[in-house]
Amino acid sequence: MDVLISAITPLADVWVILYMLLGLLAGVLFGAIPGLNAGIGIALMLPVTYTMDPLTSLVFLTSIYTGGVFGGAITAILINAPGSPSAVATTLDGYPMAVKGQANEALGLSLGASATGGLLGMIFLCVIIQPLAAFALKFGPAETFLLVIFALTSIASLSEGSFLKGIVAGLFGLLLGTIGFSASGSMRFTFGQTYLMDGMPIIPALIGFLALSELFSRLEEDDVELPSAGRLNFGKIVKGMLMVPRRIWAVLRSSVIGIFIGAIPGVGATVGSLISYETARRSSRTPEKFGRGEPDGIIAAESANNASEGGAMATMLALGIPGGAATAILIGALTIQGIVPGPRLVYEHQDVIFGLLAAEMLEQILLLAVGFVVAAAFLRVIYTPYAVLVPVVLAMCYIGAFSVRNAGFDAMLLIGCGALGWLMKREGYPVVAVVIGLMLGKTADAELIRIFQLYGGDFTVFFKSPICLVLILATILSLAAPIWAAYTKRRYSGPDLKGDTGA
Amino acid sequence: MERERRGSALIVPVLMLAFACAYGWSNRHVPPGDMHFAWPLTIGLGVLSLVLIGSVLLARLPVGPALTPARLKRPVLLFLCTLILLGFAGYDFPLATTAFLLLAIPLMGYRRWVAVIPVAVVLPVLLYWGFTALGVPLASFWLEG
Repeated sequence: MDVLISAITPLADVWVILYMLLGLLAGVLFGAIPGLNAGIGIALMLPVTYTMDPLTSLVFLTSIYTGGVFGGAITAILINAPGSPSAVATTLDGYPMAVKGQANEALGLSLGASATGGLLGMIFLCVIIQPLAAFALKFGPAETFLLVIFALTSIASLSEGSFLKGIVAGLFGLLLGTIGFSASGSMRFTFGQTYLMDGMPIIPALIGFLALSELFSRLEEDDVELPSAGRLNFGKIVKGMLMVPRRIWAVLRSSVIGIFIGAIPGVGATVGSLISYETARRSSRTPEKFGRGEPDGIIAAESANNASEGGAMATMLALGIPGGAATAILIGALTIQGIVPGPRLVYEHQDVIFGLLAAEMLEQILLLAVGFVVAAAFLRVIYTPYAVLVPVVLAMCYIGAFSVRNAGFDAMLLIGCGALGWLMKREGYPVVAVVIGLMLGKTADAELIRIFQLYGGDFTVFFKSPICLVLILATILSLAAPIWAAYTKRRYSGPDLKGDTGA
Repeated sequence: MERERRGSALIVPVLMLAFACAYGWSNRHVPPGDMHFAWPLTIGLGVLSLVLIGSVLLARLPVGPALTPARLKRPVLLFLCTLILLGFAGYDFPLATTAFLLLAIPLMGYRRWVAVIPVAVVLPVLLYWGFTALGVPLASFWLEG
């Protein structure tokens, strides 16, 4: 009862609600603008949270996350341009519905499915977080070390493009994470720079690799003129929303897929929504209608991508493992507040965690209103040319990087990481693997040093606990999966594809 | 064109290899007890970077589009414009940002001055007021106080 009261009490604070609404508004806009996404939105709004208390800060940032995942659907439906990658599956049936003159109903469907999927994801998070944290508390240094290695191999192998590039990106990130003082006091790769003694500054690196690199990528090609979005009709949007309860089983199935896919590091909302869409198509009695404006297609995609937030947050909060760009930046935000994500967080900061869970549920409900307001009133923002948008966003990135320590070094690091991230992205290296490696490198390093101190380099410790064995097996499977996939692809597509250069 | 694409694709593995070498060299005096994790990673990164270089040269890896002057133009110009922010925003954020936006927006291809000037002049001041009100310590000698 005490926990329930402590969870609900912060929601009575008008500032928390105000920041929640602002976060949802900003998130839906960031999600709707093609080229920006929830992760970039969270990165840009980080400096706003520096002086906030931990709960308000987390509520604000998770609102951006929630709004951002839905926001992509608006432009996916209205102009066939998914605002963020997680809305790709929504375009498949959303835009055909718009072409048939049912854009408003499609928007209503996506809004209703997003809110319901997101709510189910949060219910899952509430149920799972304490058992998961209790389980994770049993982890010793060997288990923690292997968990980090599994998270990275999973991200590298499941990322798009070459597996080898994924592994290189992950190794590079891990090495960046070991810069600075080691767990036993040696200095590594600092070149005498005091700014690097505490390690590579996380926030400038995060904003550089995740947000700035995307801006540089956008500038490589000329701006594309977006088609007109047409007029919106409130009554028809509500009619679309009311179609969701009649398809509750489809919502449930898609949400479960989204939650479990979202919990796997490196997979996230995009893959979750695509798998959910394909499952819905295969299990439908009329699969031929999918791709031609089938409401179930929108429900499958939108429920799954919003529900994935619950899964991703569970892995992030209870295990301290970021599953993707948005959760990586959320961990950065927690670190600024002096909170270290991981199993202890759930016990040491119960007020923050349960307050956040209650707030996240409220966010899903408020999303219905905010999503509609943005679609109706702020849609013109998506037509801002990149030539204006990118310099403005870059100035905001600068504020985010510079103001953590008031250090010019951090601003330079931001630009350096942005340029490197851009070069990596255009060649198909998963930049998110660098970021997650950077965040987990210090933990893995410290745990390995502890293993050597405790067991004197006896590596049989890795085979003594069942958790270790499961993690080793999972790592081997995640390493073998892309090799197996490449082998079967080569086998079935003949020898001609062997030298495929992607031309 | 194909040769240019392969050339562009070599940039990242060469940078990774250089980083692995620099990291290994700079940490050669660190006690081995602190490098149990870092040495295998350094060697792994170096070896895999060499494999990547080989794969690119032997055309066994998908590569991105070539870094042609047309593709490089806007990112490089933006990068150069950021030098204004890097050099002067620490002294006066609104002025440096105004100068940055006045230069960057037209260089990126948007030249409607009726829109550029208000954005470049008003937005930095709003950002300054907004963020300083939230406790972010941005500098300005003319807006301070």
